[in-house]
Amino acid sequence: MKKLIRFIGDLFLKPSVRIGLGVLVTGGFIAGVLAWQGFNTAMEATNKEEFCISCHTMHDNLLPELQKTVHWNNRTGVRARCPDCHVPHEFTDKVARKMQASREVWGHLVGTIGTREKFKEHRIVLAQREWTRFAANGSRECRACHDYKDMDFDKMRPASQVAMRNAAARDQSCVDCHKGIAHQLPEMKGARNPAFDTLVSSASSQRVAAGETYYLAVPQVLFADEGLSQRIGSIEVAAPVKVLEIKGDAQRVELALWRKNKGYGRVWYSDFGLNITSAILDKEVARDENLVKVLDSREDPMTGLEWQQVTASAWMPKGSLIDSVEPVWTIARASYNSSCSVCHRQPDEAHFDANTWPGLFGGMVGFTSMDEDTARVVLKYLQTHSSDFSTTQHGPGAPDSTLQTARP
Amino acid sequence: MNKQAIELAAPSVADETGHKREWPRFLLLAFVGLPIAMVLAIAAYGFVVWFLQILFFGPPS
Repeated sequence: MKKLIRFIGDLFLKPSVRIGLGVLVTGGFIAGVLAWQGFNTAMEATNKEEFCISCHTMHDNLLPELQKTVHWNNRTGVRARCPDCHVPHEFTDKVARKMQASREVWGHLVGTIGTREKFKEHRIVLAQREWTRFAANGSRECRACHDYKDMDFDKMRPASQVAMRNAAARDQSCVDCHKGIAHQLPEMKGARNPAFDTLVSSASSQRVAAGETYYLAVPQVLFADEGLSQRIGSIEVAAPVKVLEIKGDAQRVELALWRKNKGYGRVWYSDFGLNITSAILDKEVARDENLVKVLDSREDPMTGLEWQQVTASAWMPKGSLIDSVEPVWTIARASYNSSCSVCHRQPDEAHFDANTWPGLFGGMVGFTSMDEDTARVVLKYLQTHSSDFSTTQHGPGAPDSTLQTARP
Repeated sequence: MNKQAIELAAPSVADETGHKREWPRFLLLAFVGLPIAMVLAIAAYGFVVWFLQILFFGPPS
């Protein structure tokens, strides 16, 4: 070690005896030019599409997806390559990103996403990492090509104009709305909303007494017997049930809901005339008169369908009930506010009625990153807080209940 | 005594190395040693920035 330090010291401090100063400086200059050029060439080579897709994960999974999109092939012949979007363009961020790729090299070596199945399962993680990056830098890489200041809003379709002018005014990040634009969106069923964990834990510590009414904190399977072996259907989050008896790890609950007297009548709703799904029975048992008691039947004047008030009792595992439905709505409200306001001002819950929300929500939920469970709870929240339940001025038929409020 | 010996020997050793190994040393330093040092320095810089992003700054804004 001492020898090495001494060697380096000598190398730098002792003047050369045989080589002239000019030769040394010129030689050093040439070496410097070559080294810098070599470095830039290497940087560029690792920033080429060929380099990215030389790895089979990229080649097999992401290339075919990109090839279906406008970023691969379009009428103007301008095309985005992998690093145009996924590698920062400035030196510092770029070098940092390249070093970050050591993690990807490691992933490749241990085969984290070695197969299509593994890739699809892991995709949500990768996508979220990229979404956070784009959210933090305001989609700077997109804006190397598409910048607000260069957009002619008048040439856009009217619907796009509204959204784009608002986005430009807020200098909004592109990927806030345009997710999945060059690749398929991740399947959200693998994702979980961590907010539900608190519900699950409060449900597991909830003291349940027979004769009281509780609400489902998580979706639950319904059984015909206390051994929980014979499945008869499922019940949704926030559905009210009355606990009848508790035996071991099971409890018998009573459902009092409504259904349409049509087909099997499998889907049970929480209120008369409103499509707010609360439980779904298997079709073998939905018409079983020993299980299902019809209390009342009424015709819905809007559709001419006959609705039946029905009741049934079923067994379910313990630890899934809470005594107040409010914590569920708190989670749903937070998710609704944050997910929907990304692209437009979210309409008031009571702007629409309970039977309008499912269609509207179904058309929009694909633009958000809500997982399936959250989406279901949010829809239910919107329906149960819709104009049918609201006492404010936004009744059905009020002028502002028919207009989507995507205005500045 | 030891010190004296080194001082005595030093000029002749320098002459010797200068005479025989000055060119290979220069070429090795200019074309191999320093370029590698440069790449290592940039890589280290990249890692430092990355770790700072993880720990303090968050993703680049």
